[in-house]
Amino acid sequence: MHPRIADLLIGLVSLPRFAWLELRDRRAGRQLRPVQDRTGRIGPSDILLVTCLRDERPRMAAFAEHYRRLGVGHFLVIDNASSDGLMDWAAAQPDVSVWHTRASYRASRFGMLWVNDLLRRYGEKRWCVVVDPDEFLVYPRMETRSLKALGQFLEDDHRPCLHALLVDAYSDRPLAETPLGDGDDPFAACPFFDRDGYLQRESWGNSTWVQGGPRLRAHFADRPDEAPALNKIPFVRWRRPYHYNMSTHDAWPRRLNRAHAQDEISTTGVLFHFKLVAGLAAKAAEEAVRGEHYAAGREYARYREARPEFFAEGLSVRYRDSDQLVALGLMGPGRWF
Amino acid sequence: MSDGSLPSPMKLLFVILAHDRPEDAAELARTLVGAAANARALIHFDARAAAAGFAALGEAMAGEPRIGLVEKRVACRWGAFGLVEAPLNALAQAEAEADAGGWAPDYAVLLSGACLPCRPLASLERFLGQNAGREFIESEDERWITGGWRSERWRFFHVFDHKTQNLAESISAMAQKRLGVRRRFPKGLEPRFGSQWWALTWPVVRAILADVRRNPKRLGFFRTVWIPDEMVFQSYVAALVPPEAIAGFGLTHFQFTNRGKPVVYHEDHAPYVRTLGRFFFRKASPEARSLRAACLACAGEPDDGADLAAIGRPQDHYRLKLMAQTRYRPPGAVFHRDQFADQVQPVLAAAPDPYLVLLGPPALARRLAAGLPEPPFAVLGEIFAPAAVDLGPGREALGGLRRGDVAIRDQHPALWLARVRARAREAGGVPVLLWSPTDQRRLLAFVARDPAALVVGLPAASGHPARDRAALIAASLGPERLGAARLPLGLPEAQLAAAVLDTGAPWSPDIAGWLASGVAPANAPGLRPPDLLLPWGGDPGAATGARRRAELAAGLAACRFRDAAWFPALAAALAAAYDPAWDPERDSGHDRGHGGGHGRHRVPAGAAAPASGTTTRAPTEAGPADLPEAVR
Repeated sequence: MHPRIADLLIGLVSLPRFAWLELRDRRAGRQLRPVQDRTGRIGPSDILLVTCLRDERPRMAAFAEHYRRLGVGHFLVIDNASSDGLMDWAAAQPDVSVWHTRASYRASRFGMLWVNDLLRRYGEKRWCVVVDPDEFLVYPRMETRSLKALGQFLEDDHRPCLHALLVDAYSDRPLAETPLGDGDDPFAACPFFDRDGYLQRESWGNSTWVQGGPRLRAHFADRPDEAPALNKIPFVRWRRPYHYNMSTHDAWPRRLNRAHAQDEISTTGVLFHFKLVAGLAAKAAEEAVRGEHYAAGREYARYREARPEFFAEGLSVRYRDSDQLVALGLMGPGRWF
Repeated sequence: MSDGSLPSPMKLLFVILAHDRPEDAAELARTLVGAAANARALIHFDARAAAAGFAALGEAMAGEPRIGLVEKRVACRWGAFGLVEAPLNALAQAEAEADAGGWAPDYAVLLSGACLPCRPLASLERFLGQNAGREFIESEDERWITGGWRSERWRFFHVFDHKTQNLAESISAMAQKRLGVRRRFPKGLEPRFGSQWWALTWPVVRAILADVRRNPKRLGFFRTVWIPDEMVFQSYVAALVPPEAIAGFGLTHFQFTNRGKPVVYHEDHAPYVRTLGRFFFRKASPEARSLRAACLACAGEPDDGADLAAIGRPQDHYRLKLMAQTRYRPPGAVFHRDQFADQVQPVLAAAPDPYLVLLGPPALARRLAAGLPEPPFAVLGEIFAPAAVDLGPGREALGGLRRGDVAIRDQHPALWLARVRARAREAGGVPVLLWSPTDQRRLLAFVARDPAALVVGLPAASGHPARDRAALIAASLGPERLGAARLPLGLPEAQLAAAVLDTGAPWSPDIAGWLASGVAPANAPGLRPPDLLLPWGGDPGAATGARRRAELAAGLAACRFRDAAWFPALAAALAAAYDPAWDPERDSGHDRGHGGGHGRHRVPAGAAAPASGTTTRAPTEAGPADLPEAVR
């Protein structure tokens, strides 16, 4: 059968499912109220960034700075009932649009339905970065190549998305002594990460399920199966039938969950995760009460129990540049020459 | 054409096809005419581009007597006839000027606005001077096309735009295939293919222009072929000049990906592009401003005197670099399917540094390991002991790997092995691992095949295979683990020992049997015998001892690793520490699983017996000599 006809048939068969998914996104999207709509300034080839957050104001300056430098053109922010003056920051940013909602994060599948709806509205045929405010994307040769160049290559390589390993960064001091103040560069506050020990398994639809890093070492050493997943899909050339499911770990249609093109090695990245900072214990206490997080905040419950140091001599290395991550095998340039 | 002392510089006409970014095209043209004293440039600006761009370009070029704009502009869609028409229009314009008594070039060079120079133009002038009269164009038969349509490119009518009318295009091609459409190639021409970019001598250019004027139908044929820019000039040149005058390559470097897209060069390629065996390259990322600046500056440099013999030869850089990027990976590389937790061999293969495995009863292995000097060795413990990760005497952690990481280790033992080895290497030595043949047998079966592993086997060797096997297992397990595995059946210990081993998963090969006999078990083919064998047990007589020592010496002399710098130290230490009459009764494995003690303290035979006063004796207590009855 001609591949185009096969595609068409598959599309027809899965139409009801995608219609349902879109309906669900649209319904959740109605909970979003625009409070600062600057989407008119989005240029025709701009890269978008979509993020869903709550009380992350101190992180925003460094976050926006990192992605602006990489070439993100516009930030679409979903504010889930922040009370820390997010709008004071956002009002001064010409490339930031904000939607506000007080609805349940949990009922919105951990914010993903809201994200899907914004992507449906603004992301069609654009490269979009979908991350949390504590996640900083790094990709091979990012020092000399922009996100736009990466997007162009992936498009030329017939790839719909970039897969990334979530790498937890930490300091060499106890958690309580690792503050991340307003505007602080998280790469400076948390310069270390685990150089190896990332365990991978095949998951449904040929996707990769990765676990490891300091959170596994410190909290799940005796039952590593329960450790958080570290595989993410943070960079996608959005199309209407696409949907994130529960988190940016997996998406519809299933082919988005494959890190590589068939029989090839494609480009992958690393998503630095700056969660292990001083505010975490307080946040953990709050989230335990709210119970709005995945698996009833099991992970957060563990942060309250123990406050370990994550630094381990010989395993922790200081982040230098993207080549270092490629050499360690945490990401790869694939066929990007 | 010499004025006596200096050869007159080549007269070059650069035809630049610009699609957007008029300021970049202007800058390129200015650089080219600035760098070559006797050069001119003609810019063809895509008719599809904004009119303002053309106006700006005209304004910018107004003060440049040696840069002209092509007046008859055409639309230059991808793979469309416009890409042939545009250079033809430019050349016709240049010809008209020359005929009016103006300047006529020696060579016309076709470039795109996205092309950049990667060598000094002075070198190009030298090169063309040395090769005057050759046509720098690819002109190959249809084997030049690596994938997709070949003769279909001209046999069928192609009228749809590839990018915007893709579906119509393929339907039309399918229909023509069904209908058996077969157009005839124009008389006097043979189909020839090659890259769009070329440098042709002025006489050949004039001959093509003359033919186009005289016989416009011949050119018209190409209006409905697929990608005419890879066919028209290539076919005309082949028909006009003898084959030896065709160089078979252009002066512009380009590289296509496996998806047929041009490779884009970025800032980090600045040193690389200087090594290309051409004078121009495409295409540079529009964002790579410093790469662009460096290349434009390079055009104006004086001739660097580089050897130009290699110009035009095929280069392997792209293929080799992509191979390095996609085929080689460290153990556990993320998103590589062959490094997942269910894989073993590819994980081992990703770590090629040598390591030593002392395979046998841990008590004996510890004695041998204690004799190995550090450096050149880094002696670790039984890293796959079930109760705890034994990283060596008194070591709680090694490079972030902890004694208690049993669950993490057991998720992916091959990766754990690679991580431990990496840390031992960093500590400055060849890793030495102690390994009981009862532990991690699946991984062990792969390690036994790993070319990086030097396996020192420590088999029991009394001459009775069944007895030896049982003795090895019993000595390897030690009393505690045998006790823990005891089934309430009242079985004799040695049978139990064998049972512990044999109840493994079906893929677990019989390592003990392999160790004793050197013969690979049926379910693990390809196992080679251990590199070195240090047998123990059996008749402790002097003759046996002497024979075994002689066999060890022979094994060392024939070892695969005998040329390694560390090998003499290994040979000396093994020869010194090896006791052919070793008896597990003396060296009970009691301390295993607790780490720390490295078997240097001897446990009296009596102390090894379970204190509970059970009627059965601990197997280590039962010397190998007692075992045959039990097994029977």
